[in-house]
Amino acid sequence: MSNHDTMRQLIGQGCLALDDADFDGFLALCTEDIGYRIEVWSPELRQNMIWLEHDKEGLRALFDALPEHLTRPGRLARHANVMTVTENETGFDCVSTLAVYHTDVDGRSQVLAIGRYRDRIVKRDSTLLLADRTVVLETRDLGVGLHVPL
Amino acid sequence: MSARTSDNWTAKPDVPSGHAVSGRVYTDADVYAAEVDTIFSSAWRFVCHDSELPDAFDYRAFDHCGKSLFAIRGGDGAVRTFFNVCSHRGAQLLSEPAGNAAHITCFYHRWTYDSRGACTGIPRPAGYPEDIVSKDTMGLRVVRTATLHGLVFICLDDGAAPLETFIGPALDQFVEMLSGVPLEVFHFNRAVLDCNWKAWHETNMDLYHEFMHVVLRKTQVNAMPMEDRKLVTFANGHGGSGGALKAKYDGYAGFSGRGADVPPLPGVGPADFRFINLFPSTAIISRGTVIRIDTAMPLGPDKTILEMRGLGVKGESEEHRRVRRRHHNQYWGPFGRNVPEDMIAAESCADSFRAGAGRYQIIARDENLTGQDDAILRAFYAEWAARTGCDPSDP
Repeated sequence: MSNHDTMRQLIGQGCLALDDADFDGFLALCTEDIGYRIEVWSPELRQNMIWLEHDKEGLRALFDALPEHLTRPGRLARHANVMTVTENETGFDCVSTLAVYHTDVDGRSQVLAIGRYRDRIVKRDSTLLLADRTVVLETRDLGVGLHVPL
Repeated sequence: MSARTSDNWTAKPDVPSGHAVSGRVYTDADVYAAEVDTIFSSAWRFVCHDSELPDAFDYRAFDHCGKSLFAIRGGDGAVRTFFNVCSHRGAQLLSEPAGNAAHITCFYHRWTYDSRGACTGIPRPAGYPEDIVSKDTMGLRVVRTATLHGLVFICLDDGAAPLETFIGPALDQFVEMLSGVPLEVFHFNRAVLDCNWKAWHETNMDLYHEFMHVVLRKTQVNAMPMEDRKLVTFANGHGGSGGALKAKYDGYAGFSGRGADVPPLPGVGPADFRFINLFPSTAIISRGTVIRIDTAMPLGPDKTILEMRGLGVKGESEEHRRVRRRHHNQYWGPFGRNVPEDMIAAESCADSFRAGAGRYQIIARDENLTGQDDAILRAFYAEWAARTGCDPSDP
């Protein structure tokens, strides 16, 4: 399997795990020291913003709290297309285009957000794991927002 | 009585005057037109923070009831606001939400303006009757602009009372926080919601809905005795906390230690929670280390632009900013624990009233301006009624 295919499989597994709310499954794909953030460029402020930032402990606390929160009904579907894979001494840097769709309880789907994943993937004990993820959003109006990572 | 019949359901609630709001207030086109005429055309409204215009000729464009306006800092340091409309054919002058423009040039026929709204250039002017169409007569439409404690407000009514009169003492508890150190906006989120503008603003005025948010159930509702939580209302429809309310951040997993990791803002403790709702549609909320300002602007009776800002200390270290940003994002922003839930609530009520299924909002909690009293909502609707001439319970 090529590097590209290997990365695509890992990133795809992450998408499916988050879509299925299998948060333990998603965390299992991550290193213990993963950094996760969602970044957005603000043309209003003319600067970059960070809308969500967590380490693994923070992600776990967020996931654990979700059942008690009021959330937008429906399901999310994350479509990531791995565009570039760059190998270096410590792992792989991957850039994927991302589209996130929301399907409401009546079965209507619409685009919730588009952007990119900028991922850092490393090999730990012969297993590839997500070591860092920055979701760079193009979409800034997320409607009623959401509690879960994209 | 258990479930209610049609007559029971549609009857005006038997509560004192001013303690119920008809669903038509959120959906009726005539009510909305009255609001545009009597509220948004005459009341002062927050549009941006002073720090968003740091340099000469910096501008911020924004919506005001569907009109495009822009605020710009002149070479003299003053902030002025204009309709974002060329005097010639009505083309929009500035298409970006922010930027820097010492000279503003219309893309359509290259008419130009300066930061004071003066028309400075008309290509081939000789073709016009000079006494009617000339640089001297074709300036931009200026909008009254005033800055108070770093907050920039506009008012479309040239005859309205000054901003300081309109605000009165409503911002007093925020003065030290807003002015004690230089602040800057580090978070901005604009979302269009499918609800009436008041439905959003009510989420800020209604303390009783704390129960909706698990994070507030765990950090706020039980942080201090309800009878010790003081609320206050002011003239002109403003209302908020009467001093600091308290939060216990250790009650929510992941929030532990909040406040010990970055200096609080001037004049407040790290666990203090203060808020003020400024009529018609701006809320300023402080959680000790960070401030949120949000403002709602209608696009119609059931569509609202919501702008939300997060403010920290200008020039602070990256580490302090990172912590303050985390404190902000824990509650607020599109991925916060609170804000998405408020948005769901506002749109949910809108769905009910739009369909005529929901008929009234009840704002009858009376706790003598403590706890979760609805007095702030009632003060808002008293001002709303005075301006629109409509009875909120029967518009």
